[in-house]
Amino acid sequence: MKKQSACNKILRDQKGFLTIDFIFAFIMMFAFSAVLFAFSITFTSVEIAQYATFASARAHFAAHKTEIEQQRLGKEKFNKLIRDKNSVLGNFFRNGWFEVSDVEIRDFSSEFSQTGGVDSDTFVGARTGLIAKILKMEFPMMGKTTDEDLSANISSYLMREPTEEECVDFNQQRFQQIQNLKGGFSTPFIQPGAYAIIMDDGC
Amino acid sequence: MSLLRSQKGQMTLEAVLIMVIGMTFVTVASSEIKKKNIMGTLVAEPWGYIQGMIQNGIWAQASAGQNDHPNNFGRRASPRPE
Repeated sequence: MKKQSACNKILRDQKGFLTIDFIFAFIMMFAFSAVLFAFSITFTSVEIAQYATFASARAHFAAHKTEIEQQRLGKEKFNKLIRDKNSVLGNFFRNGWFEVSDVEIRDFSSEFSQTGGVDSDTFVGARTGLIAKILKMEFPMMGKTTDEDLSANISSYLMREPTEEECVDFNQQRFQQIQNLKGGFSTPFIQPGAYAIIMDDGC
Repeated sequence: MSLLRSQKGQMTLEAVLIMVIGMTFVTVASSEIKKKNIMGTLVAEPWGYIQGMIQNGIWAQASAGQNDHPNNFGRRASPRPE
């Protein structure tokens, strides 16, 4: 009799009645919240990567002896901001949520439509690839967010100042062109090495 | 006859029935969410446009908006803006 009474008490107990609905609603809300969080942190990381490419393009922009030296400075700046273990910004890309490729510094003009000969059509700068691994999620009862890695190229196009090497070459060519002009510009009897060309335009 | 009139265990049956309804609802809703790729619609689909905005500054798919990158346009500066 006592056992039957206890059994009836259990059957009349309505605690946990909506557990299944609650679990489903909880997972649903958790999934939506996780997606919102993932997007927020992705946008933050995109901004950080954007800043790193900008700083890299800016370091690459300034004149140097050769173009290789300009690229080296640009890459050094990017690595200092993103790859350096002491970099605070780099922490975003070391936790497995995001992945950034090595910075690429060159002229990307061939990828864009060019009207031709217009100085403003500038696509010289720094670029990195960002993969947002955090957006690739799978939730129980909800499915996957995506099958592929979601990625984007993050770039800064700032142009590049001529190098000392390019400047010297340009002036040398101009000097030759001036000498080739008819009239009193030509100096036919210059001995090689007798004169040194000195640029006064900051080369 | 007294056995048929007994109401003992009726609550159990109803609890099982409601449990089945609950499970059915969750299963159907879960399969519909997966079939319609709701999570993909929330993430993968808008990413194409977000990627375009990141790469080109244009709210369009990355490949479609490439020619509208602001660096393709002539830029002019004026000392006396209107």
